[in-house]
Amino acid sequence: MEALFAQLLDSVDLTQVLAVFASSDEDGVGAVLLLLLGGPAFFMFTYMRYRNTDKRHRHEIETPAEMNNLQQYNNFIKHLTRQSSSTITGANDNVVSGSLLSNGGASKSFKAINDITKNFK
Amino acid sequence: MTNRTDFPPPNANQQAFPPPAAGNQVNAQNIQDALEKAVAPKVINTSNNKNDGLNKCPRCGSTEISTQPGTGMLVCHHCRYVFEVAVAVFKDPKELIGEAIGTGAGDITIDETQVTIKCQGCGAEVVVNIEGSMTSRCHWCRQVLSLENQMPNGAVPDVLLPFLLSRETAKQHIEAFAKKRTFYANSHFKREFTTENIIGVYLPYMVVDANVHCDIRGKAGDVVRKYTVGSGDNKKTYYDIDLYDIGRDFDLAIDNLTVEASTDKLNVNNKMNTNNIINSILPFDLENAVHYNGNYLKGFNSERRDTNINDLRGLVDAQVRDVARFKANSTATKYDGGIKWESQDMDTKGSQWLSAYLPVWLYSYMQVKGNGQKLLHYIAVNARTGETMGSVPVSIGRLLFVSSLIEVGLLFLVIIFFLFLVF
Repeated sequence: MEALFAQLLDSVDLTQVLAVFASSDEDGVGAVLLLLLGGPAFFMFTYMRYRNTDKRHRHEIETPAEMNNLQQYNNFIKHLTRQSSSTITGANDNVVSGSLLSNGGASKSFKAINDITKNFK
Repeated sequence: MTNRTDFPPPNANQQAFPPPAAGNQVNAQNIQDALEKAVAPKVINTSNNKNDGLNKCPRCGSTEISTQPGTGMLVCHHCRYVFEVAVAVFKDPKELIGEAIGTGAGDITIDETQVTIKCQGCGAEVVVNIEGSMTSRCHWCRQVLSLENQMPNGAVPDVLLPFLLSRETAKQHIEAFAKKRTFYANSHFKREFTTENIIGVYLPYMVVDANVHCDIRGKAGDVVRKYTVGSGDNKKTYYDIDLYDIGRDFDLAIDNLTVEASTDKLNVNNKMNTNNIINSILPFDLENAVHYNGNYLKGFNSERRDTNINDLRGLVDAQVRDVARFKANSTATKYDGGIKWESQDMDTKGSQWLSAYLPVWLYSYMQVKGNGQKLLHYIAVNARTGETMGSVPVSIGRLLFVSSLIEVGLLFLVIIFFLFLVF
């Protein structure tokens, strides 16, 4: 039974589910739906607090690194209006590829990472 | 971080990036030199020219030496002299050119687990099983013999970090962690939990310094307006976003990027193990690492490295790219509409690989599930920083029951709310 729940928890990102419900309406129905998710949300929160299956070393920010000789450009391209999302399509600035856990907590194989990356010389 | 803003955009008539500053110019000879160095890695000799056998107290010559609890220093149990091994100092990552490899990080070419050491005290030959211990006592003269020679079986690393946290402190950390997770814990776990059997273990890691150049480009969004259109059920929120073409070009000196060097610990699979817990207690204060000295291992377990540098290149490459990308993110914080990085070119100018033993206090619990499947849970303490993380088996039935009660209660509240609205 726990294996089944673990599989479900690996495949569901609670923050995304909550965001969908919270933004579904602004006159109270979304809030009520959010309230109805209280039981599953409590289950997931508690399970993760005990099992910590999403915890990992955050190498991308915890590794000491010194940047030097920075050069940069920032060129305005165009003004986009009436966008339904506050984030541009394909934004990937928070994606981490070198972790054995994916961003949502699911496992990635060490071989899978080695297969898709170049050899570091 | 130094910042130059004379970085031209990549339009059709302009060169994408300006030539390097005068001090950084590379010529064909430099490139050739770098290539040659890349083909034949430099070797950093970390062996200290020591041989297996007696590792004596510098004051009285006794071999009864071990780590002093709570300080990370060595103490002689004969004359009480407290001393430490000098901190290992290596090249600044900014100055690395070509690839350099520590003598303890070389490829594993033999798979010996038993080593014979000749006792310099009496001449006896003593066999040490290095799977569990790197030291042994001579059965004739009772002196302690330790394995110091870096043989190619991954047993002796270049550097190590001594245990700083005492066993008692680690027990307190583990107890506090488990105590906060008692109510929904598996009943077997609650019954059997005791910190009496925690073990201090030196786990094998590969520590990489890198001197890289990164050229990263993409599109970025700056949200300039948020507004709502319509009313009632047709109300919708929209955003106006300024789209930019952005690029960052920089040098990056990465210090002590740390990856597991044991196949077992690299296998992170939440359904089969809890190895992510051990990964999560990184990083260590590697600037305080000392050259390997077998005396530090007395009283602790150690796990042998079983991966080679070539096995880890892909993982390290991916992590170096992540570090560079997040550094680039830190220079573009004004783009609250996100960044879509489209290209990332990396050039590794130099790198340094060292094998290391890093200290961890471990509590482990084997959970046997109803279907007979086993899952090994860890509570791990970083024996330098005290960072603690763990996995506690959950009583799914109890958690499901309480979650259901909460859900029923909330449903009841919603029904009352709607009844109140209707009447």
